[in-house]
Amino acid sequence: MRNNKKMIVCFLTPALFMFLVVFLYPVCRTIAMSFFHAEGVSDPVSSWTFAGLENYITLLNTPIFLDSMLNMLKIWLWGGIIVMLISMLFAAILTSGVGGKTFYKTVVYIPNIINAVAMATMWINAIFNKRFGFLHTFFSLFGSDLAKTDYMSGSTKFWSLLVAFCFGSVGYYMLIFMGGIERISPDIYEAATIDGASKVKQFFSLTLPLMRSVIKTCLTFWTIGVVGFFVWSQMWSAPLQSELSTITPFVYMYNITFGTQGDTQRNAAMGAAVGVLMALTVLVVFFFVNRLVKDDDVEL
Amino acid sequence: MKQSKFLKVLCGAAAAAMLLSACGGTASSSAATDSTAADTATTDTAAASGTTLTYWSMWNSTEGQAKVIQEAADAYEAKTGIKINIEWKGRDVKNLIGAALDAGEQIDFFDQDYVFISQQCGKYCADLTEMNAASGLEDHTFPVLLETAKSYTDGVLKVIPYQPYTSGVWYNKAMFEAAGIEKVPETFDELLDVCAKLKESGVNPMTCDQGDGTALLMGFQLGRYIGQDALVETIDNKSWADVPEVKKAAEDIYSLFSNGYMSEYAPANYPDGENELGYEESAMLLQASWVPNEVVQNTGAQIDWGFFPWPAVEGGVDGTEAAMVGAQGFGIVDKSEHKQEAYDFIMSVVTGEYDLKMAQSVSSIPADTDNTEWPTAVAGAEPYFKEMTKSYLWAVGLQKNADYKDYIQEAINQLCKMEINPDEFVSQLASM
Repeated sequence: MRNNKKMIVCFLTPALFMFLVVFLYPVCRTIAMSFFHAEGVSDPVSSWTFAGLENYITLLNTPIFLDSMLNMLKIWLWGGIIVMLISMLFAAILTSGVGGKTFYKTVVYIPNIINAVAMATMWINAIFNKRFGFLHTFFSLFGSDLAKTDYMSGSTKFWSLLVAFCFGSVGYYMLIFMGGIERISPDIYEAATIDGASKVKQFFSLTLPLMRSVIKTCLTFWTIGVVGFFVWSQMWSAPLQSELSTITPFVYMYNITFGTQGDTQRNAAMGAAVGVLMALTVLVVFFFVNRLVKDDDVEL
Repeated sequence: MKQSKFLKVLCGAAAAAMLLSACGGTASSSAATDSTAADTATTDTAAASGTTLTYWSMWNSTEGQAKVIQEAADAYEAKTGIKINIEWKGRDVKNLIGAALDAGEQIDFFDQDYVFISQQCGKYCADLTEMNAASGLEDHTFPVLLETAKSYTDGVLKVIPYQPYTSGVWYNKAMFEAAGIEKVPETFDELLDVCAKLKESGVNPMTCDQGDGTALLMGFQLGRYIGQDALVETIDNKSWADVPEVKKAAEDIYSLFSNGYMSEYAPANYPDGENELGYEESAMLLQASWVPNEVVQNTGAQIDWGFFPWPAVEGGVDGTEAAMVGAQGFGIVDKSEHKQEAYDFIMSVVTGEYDLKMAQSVSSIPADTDNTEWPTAVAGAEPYFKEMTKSYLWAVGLQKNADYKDYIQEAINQLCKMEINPDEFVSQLASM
């Protein structure tokens, strides 16, 4: 037993040390920096000047930051509804004994293994391009005015971004939901079938209630993913670094931390404050999800 | 139960910590990784041949500029025995360089946008005054670039500009000739006449991409009316409604679209707009001097390029002597033990043979004023560039304020799509 303890200490110490150095240190430094004025991310602490809550107050009074938060909220809400519903639907279908399950599962999951930049480029050029894109060609066949729609402009741009992002996200959550559904004992469904419950009734009365912890996990993952929303937004606003309809807090953080083409000024402390606020956002959502969605109360 | 709650809190905290570390740790950790690679390379080569200089490049190894720089480095090594260890960092060098130098990374020199180096990296860079005086570099460089660079560092030059760019209207000479246009427009009214003639000849006169393309249109027009300083002041004070020229500029730009002088696809999604010139669907485009090369790369077009500066306006403050100009630049790290060697190598890139090679390989403007033979694609800009006395910021300052640039851009895009009229444009900006 004593030897075991020694081994545990020996194996854990390097990992713990590395965790403290490369993970916890940047976290603490970021939190501390957010209460100071600092220009560059690597400026020495001695050059920082104390700012108190000034960075946070400025941020909460900066319209573009608030708009970026609004965009993030819209992605979280609408994207969340779309992705969770479709993933759940696919998971329910694929676990119902349908043929070719592995094939369909692979097809739906494939977008997850393709780089986000490649996926975004595909959507922007092959689907949404207003001259050569699939949608333009498709609607042109019917002589529809929809063929003239510019999917990469104005408020439409946000929705085209959302559709493309959701498309790539469904497979990941579908797999998690499938894992959750397959965990439920077939005996329960068999009993329900004998009692005359339809598949739809079984889904709403059995599957959903027994999947609460899985749903909670998915909501947490979704929140973390959306708060860190960056690459898709950058791709949709290229060659600009950001655009009003698609800017998210992390894009704004990147702009102010590293400067932009038109404005090379940097404000790493403000960027740190954005990071802290986003982390708090995840914690708040996590707290509410835990409060609102109770754990499964049935032992499976 | 308690343990379960504890685990939940722990999971939540871990998720939040991951976000924070993504924000705070990326630059330093990647810099640390790069540091190791650079150190290893430096040690190995130093042992083999003596001195090795480490250069963090803003180019990717496959780009035309990179190939010329590599060639220059090989030639420099053959001549001096000094190896240039080039790390092809790409454009991200902008985000990495400060953290790397703060962390003690051994870098002798690097390159980036010359304003970025002057404005943001001045504290890391060596004063080049004495070396410049000895080499006579200032006699080989366009004065407008040197003056702009010095203006950010109290008159001291800390960057060596190369691969300069200018901006203006790039046009298809054959289309102009076919439409019977013999003289390029010098005023906005003349530009409208040119557009009308091109349209009559069955050619689509202009095009633009949304984003930078539309920002440049509005930026130049506002710059012509009130000048850059007044424009930046207008942005900072949000006094759009108090400046009558804002509405005039909006009406001018709106007229290009409402008269059908712009492509039906304009403002297009980048790079579809500029590619219209390559496919010979449109005759003119307002952009920087890298556009001819980009269009050729994208479309394989063989166009006889012409150039004229964005025209002046009646009663305007600025004329064709003012344009958006810029350059890439080399900065030599002040802590480097081989500043002179780095400077000598940089001189071999920004002057003479390799400067000309770089210009020809990517159709850019030669940095060395002694290289008088400009690549054909950008040669039309030469007389105007040499007479230029006023340098604009990117988009004439419209993108200068990070907190408002996206609102300004949105209003410009809406105006160009004719979703709002000039009056609504002004009121939208005034309500920011």
